[in-house]
Amino acid sequence: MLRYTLRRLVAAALVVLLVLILLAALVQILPGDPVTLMLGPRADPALIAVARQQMDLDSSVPAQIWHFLVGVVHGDLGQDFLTKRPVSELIGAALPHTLILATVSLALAVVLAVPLAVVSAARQGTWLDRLLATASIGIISIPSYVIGMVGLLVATVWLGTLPAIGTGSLSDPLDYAAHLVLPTLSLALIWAGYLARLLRSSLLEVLGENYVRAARAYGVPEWRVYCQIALREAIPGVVALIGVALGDLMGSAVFIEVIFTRNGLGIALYNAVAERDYPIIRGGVVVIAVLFVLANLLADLANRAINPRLSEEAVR
Amino acid sequence: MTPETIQTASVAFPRSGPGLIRRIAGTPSGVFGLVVVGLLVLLAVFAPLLAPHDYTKLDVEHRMQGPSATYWLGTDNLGRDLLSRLMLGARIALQIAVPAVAIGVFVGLLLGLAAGYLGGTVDAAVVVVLDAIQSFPAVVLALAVLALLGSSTVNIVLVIAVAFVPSFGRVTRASVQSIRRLPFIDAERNLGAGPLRIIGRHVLPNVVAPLIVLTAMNLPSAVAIESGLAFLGLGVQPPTPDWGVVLSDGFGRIRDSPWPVLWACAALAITTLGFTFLGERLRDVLDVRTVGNRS
Repeated sequence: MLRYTLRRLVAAALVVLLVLILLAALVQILPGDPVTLMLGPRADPALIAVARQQMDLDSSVPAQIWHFLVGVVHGDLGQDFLTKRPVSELIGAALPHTLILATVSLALAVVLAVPLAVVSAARQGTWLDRLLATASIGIISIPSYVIGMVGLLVATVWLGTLPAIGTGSLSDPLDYAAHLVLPTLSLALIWAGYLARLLRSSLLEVLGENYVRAARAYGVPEWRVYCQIALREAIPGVVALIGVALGDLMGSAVFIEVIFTRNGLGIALYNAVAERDYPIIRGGVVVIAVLFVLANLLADLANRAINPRLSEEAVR
Repeated sequence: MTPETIQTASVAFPRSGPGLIRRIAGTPSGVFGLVVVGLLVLLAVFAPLLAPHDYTKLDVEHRMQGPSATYWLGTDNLGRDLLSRLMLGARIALQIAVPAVAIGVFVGLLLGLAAGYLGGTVDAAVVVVLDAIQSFPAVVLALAVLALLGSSTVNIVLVIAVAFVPSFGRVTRASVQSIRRLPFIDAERNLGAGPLRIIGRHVLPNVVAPLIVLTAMNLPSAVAIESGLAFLGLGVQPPTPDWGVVLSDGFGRIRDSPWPVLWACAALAITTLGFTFLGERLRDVLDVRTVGNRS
């Protein structure tokens, strides 16, 4: 287990390093460097030189990456060129909102998926099963920003009941939760559909096993067959996907945060991109990479803890 | 691909051509997929001829209107006909999504073949690279790269293509590995067949079916990323009537007129649904088990 964890960590570090190299190399290769993009082509050469020096663009690519990594170890992600604020402070302020958004959405997706999966597995092959299958495939394929946009239209423009715009404040949990409803629903529906499909097929697999038939023959009530036997076997498959799901949700969060003008990492990145603010882009991308890699690692380890039968090879 | 391999391929999966289309149309969702994808291709080719109005023509007097007899879907904030803009948008969506996925298939196929067939170090290296690409939300990477590269059409296509290499690479690698272990490949090799013959005659035909299904399922994601990037202002730029552009134009004035957002959302939803249902149906018809719903 320890060897396996170490191997995963090395692979994870490699991923983050690759992303850093890609970004630094892109900046180096491109004709227009971030400074010119930001200050415009007619900026004062002296100012450009200062900015380039501040962004460490005059060093070679390996040196840039080394300097950045040394900074990261000290909790320093660089400095925002426009406001002179440390990037770590900016990201630190935005990150909790995105993490809350992503985890609540995922939890909501699981809560929605389990009953859907149980119903379709129990009514396998009926019109209800087919209807749910079509509905979930449909919802999986629709982009999350389309769902968010339609949700925004329905809820605010026509109904006007829920606060749709903004983040709310964490000091007022009820208000914060109200602001979360629409964004999390927009993100959760897709994964609810996907997880429901996945759970349904693993449920059916378990329900076909001999020991389930035996349990039924002994008169174990149906709800216990589903909740205590089948779901327990089917859930690990979901755990393995949590890493991927969180990564996907962090990506979709960019859209959702823009649509609902929510504070968060996604909208910070979006604004930085609009201003071509390289230090924030680099910091944000690296933080997302680290988070995603960590989530995958944790999901992987959790899955192996739940399910010791998985050999190292089978995890592939 | 040579005609020879296509013949072998038709052994690996059921009849192609009209027979295949008839079988896809065997269920309502299959019909839906065929009709939507067919319409999209038709629009992509003939949009300028079919569009009722000039998509750039301003009719400021009738701006931000709902559906009417002249403007079937209404007009946008500058009084441009929404229907015509969305019809042209279908062409732009496919112009970016199709090459992006095609590059993804090509690169993924090459990497997957190399990894699966050669094994060992090559395999390990390819897996690490695919992992690295996949362990990153495609949208975030695209945002960062396009912000630095600038959003030309070529850049958009390439950035989206990168996101699809891993899924194609993985499916190819898995198919190759499962075939390579079969005894008849050993027999063939002992008879003196080189790697090119083995890959061309036995491996490729068996990879074709899963790749077709995966392509149908990845195309809607490519359209979604493309429009999403345009919505964020980093993809196709206005005034090109991309769906994402229509969406972002309408989004800024959503309280004045919901129609642009509504119709652009409908176009995106119908397109993604069409491709996905077609992909699902193809998977059933071609009997492919190895392809998941999501890459």
